[in-house]
Amino acid sequence: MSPDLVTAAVLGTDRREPPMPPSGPVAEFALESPARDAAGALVQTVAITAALDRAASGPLPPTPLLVPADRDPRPLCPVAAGVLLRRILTEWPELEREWLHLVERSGHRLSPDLVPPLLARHRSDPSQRATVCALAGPVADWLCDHVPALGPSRSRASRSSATVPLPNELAAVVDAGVEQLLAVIAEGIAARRYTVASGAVVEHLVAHVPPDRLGQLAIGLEELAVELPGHALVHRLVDLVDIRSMMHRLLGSAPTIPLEENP
Amino acid sequence: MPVDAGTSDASEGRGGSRWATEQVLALAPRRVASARPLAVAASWTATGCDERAVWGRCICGRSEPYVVMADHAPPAGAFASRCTCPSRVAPCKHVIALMLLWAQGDVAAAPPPDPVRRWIDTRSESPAAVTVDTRGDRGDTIGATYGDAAGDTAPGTHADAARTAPPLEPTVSDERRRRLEAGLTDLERWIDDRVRVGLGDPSISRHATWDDLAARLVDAQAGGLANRVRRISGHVGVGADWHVHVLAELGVLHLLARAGRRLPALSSPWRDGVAAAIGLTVRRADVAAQVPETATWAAMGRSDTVEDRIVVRRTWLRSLATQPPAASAGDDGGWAVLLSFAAHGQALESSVGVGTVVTADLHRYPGTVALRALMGAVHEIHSDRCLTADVVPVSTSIAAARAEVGGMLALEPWLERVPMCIRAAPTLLDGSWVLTDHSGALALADDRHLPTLLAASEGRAVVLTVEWTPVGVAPLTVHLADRVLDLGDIDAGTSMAVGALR
Repeated sequence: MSPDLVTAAVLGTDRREPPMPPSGPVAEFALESPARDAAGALVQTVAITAALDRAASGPLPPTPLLVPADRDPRPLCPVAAGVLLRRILTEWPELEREWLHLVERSGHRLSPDLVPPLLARHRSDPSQRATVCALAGPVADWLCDHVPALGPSRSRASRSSATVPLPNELAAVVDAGVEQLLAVIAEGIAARRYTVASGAVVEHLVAHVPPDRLGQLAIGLEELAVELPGHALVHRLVDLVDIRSMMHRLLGSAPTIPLEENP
Repeated sequence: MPVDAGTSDASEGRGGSRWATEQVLALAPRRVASARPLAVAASWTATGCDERAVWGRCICGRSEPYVVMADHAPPAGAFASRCTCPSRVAPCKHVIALMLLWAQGDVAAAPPPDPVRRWIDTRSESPAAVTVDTRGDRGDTIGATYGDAAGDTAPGTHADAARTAPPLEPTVSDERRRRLEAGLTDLERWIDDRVRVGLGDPSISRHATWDDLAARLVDAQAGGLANRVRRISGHVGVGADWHVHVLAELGVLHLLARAGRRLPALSSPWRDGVAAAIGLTVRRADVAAQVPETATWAAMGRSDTVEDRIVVRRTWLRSLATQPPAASAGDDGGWAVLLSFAAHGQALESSVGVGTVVTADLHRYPGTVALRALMGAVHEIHSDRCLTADVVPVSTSIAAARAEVGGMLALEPWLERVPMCIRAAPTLLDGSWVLTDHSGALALADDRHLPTLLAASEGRAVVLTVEWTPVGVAPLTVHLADRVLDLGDIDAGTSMAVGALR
């Protein structure tokens, strides 16, 4: 679209005569079907020009490539693990750290669709950001160079780093067997000490049960769910163990992060 | 939510040719949300339908139910309805709910009760009754042609279908044609007036300037043009070059108005293409009756857009039997598009997800460029196949892909989205992001998915399915060596890996 044509259209043909149509098909068409006035002539020229531009214009000239990111030989993490991470970020953010830990242990790197959201999520959390950058590989820094919005933020970390204080009865079973843990949970639920509203401590504890005990814990919680049908906290715990088990199946087992290391 | 995928054998019969859900939604998009809760069998009694009408009593918590009836196949072509509720808009939510119930197959065929029969008889005797009954609502009837309004595509006569089936033509009554011509003349005059006073005039940025025109086009039953006008209004004031883009779009509108006024004089495929762009619809059942194109189809990508509170999903399919074509005018390159619709916030149909490979029948809509289609019988779902970079049919170069798109645009310059599959790298040109290869570069329409695109490419060439639009290309899918990244899902809100090799 010629600048003269656009200028006439912006100012209006009442104030600016439209330019003569360029020679070629546009001019030929104007000759074949003359417009009734200046505005009609301009619209006609615009219409034919737009149609020609869209159908016949080629691409822009080839453009030099960016300096690419260094290659990372590690395989991408499985697609299913990425899907699981999205669920974790929505429903069980406490498990994100364990997910990242498992990816690291399994020797994978992050799938490209996960890199931007994780970098954006941890802009102001230097510790988690370092983990994400390490798992993303060289593409993380390269990406931040080109998309500054994904770079680190100087604002204070928005997430609380306070640890969840464990009640005494739970603290006593941190290193105990699954049976004891289940018994304490069942007793707490029966006594209405643990509900969905106050169950964060139990969830926190279950989120850190060693992976080799997850199977046994899942069975115990399923039995508890049968005994207490519709109990929301039990169902949440079943879901939590289920997600952790799936995570370990997909990314291989790794030692659980000890409670005291977890923010 | 029913979509273009799937034919409806069960929809035929004594109950008449059942509408698709999206046709019902398009009747009154603004009332879909209130109608949905009523579109359940529990809210209705005494329902029934025949080849002409659908009727029922809506309980909706009142002691006295509302009596609702709709003429879904009027000879004059205009949908009409009647409801005893006090609402002054038509069709009301009860009518929409009943139509949805019927479209879902939850209304059984039955002989019409006397009031319905009398009403239908009256309508048949007096076509003028149409306007009285419908209580036409300007704002909502715009959706009546949403399939075309999405801007999407140009429906086309498929070669096989054209050989063996009668041509698909929108039926246009004389009255409708008169209204349409008046509307198109009004549109031409409006465009001339805008150019006469200039795009710099403050009136151009007023919502009413555009909305009034769109409403008049709806009245003229040119819903496709009305939606296009609303889309253009969304570009006013956006970006430094908005004048250029809006001017070009007004030029394309002018072309469509001129072509629309000459509709009866145009030959078949041209007429079909123009009619679809204007908003004249072809019955879904007629399309499904055409001889299908059976092939192995790959869901290459999808793009979701929101228009007037309706989410439109385009799922781009490509025949895997098709080799990357040499550019030639009118060659669709093995591409087809399925459209689906949902009220904003409701779930979109996703049976043919990105990365899916199916052997299926496809029925194409008429037109010059045959892109829009319905999916018929699915013969096989190839769950073991993944649309990775080594599998998808990629154009030989950006220049070749652009020429292929140009061939389609030469036939239908009003196309707003055309797919292509290219191998290209993202890079910067004068501060703007482009996709480039050895033959040329294409500007990106926006930066929405840039971070994922960059992360996937790492600065190198990757295989991409993109949509050409007048303002640049929009990446829809990144095909990597072992997975597919879907960028176009509006529900996900972000990109997502959707498939991988086992």
